[in-house]
Amino acid sequence: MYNEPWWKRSVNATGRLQSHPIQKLVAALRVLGYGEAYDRPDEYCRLSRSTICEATRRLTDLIVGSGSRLTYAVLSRTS
Amino acid sequence: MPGCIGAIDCAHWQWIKCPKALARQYHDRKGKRSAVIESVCDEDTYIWHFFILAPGSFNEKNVLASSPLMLDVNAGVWPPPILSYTLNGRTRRLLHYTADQAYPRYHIFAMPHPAPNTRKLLVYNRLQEAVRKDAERLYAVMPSRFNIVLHPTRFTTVERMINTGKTVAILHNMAIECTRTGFLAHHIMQGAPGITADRMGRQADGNASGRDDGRDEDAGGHGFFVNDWPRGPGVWGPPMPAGDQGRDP
Repeated sequence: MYNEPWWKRSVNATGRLQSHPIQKLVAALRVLGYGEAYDRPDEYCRLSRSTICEATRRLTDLIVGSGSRLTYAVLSRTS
Repeated sequence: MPGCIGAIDCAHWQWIKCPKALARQYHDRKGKRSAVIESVCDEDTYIWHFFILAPGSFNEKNVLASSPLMLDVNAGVWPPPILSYTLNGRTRRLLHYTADQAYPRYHIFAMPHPAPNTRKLLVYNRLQEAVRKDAERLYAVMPSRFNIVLHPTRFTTVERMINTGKTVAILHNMAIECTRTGFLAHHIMQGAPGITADRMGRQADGNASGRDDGRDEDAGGHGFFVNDWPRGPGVWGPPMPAGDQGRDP
């Protein structure tokens, strides 16, 4: 996540700071954890719903695509 | 159960924003649109195998036929033939999953006996249910932890749905590792004989992250369960008297 420029805090053309990465991450995790719609945690996180949608998409793509393969491994209960 | 490497089960995840083009494919037996999740988990509800791709018209047999788990089993890669377990003085090499009766009768699945009429079969069925319930418990624990699985999904593409499901599964595994200090699967993985690190690394890449450094106290040899086998009438059924083990009542 540190290597992704989208998750860094950016400054727009007028010089204002944009949303903090923790805002985006909390919003994405609230969507996943509470099953909320994208425009539900906007008042909590002060983000727009499109940002939350993109944050969720980027978080899922990051977790799934970052070499973390969820597959079976051995589980030996033998003696 | 000796030789058991997890419990396998399927669940449906409803999909209300299913596109009309995929409506027939994802039409499940309850008249809803859904996708099928197949998973293998252990008694910590740690997910060892997670497969979310199958459309809802598939039943457990079809999902199994298309799952990467069964591809490896058919190719002879899985389960690894270097492991064995001994039961009643007989050593077997094929490890098995516990499954319910909807699965085909392959020898990799330990299914309940359909009509248990002897004491041996009754004890076996009870033991099998005690292991198999963890697969059912996963589908209650994981949605309650990540409610997005609980609700019908509103994604419009299959890729988003698959990615979200995998993310939830990975986060679920991470949560399980964080909640417990003595994580059972790590002990088992460390104690498993002959399993190389890269095979474990397939699973442990993204979510283990080397957290089990300082607590390998008793995983020296194989057989983590030998002394810590759960005993008692609550789990494994009433202890049988010594005289008639395995006989009919």
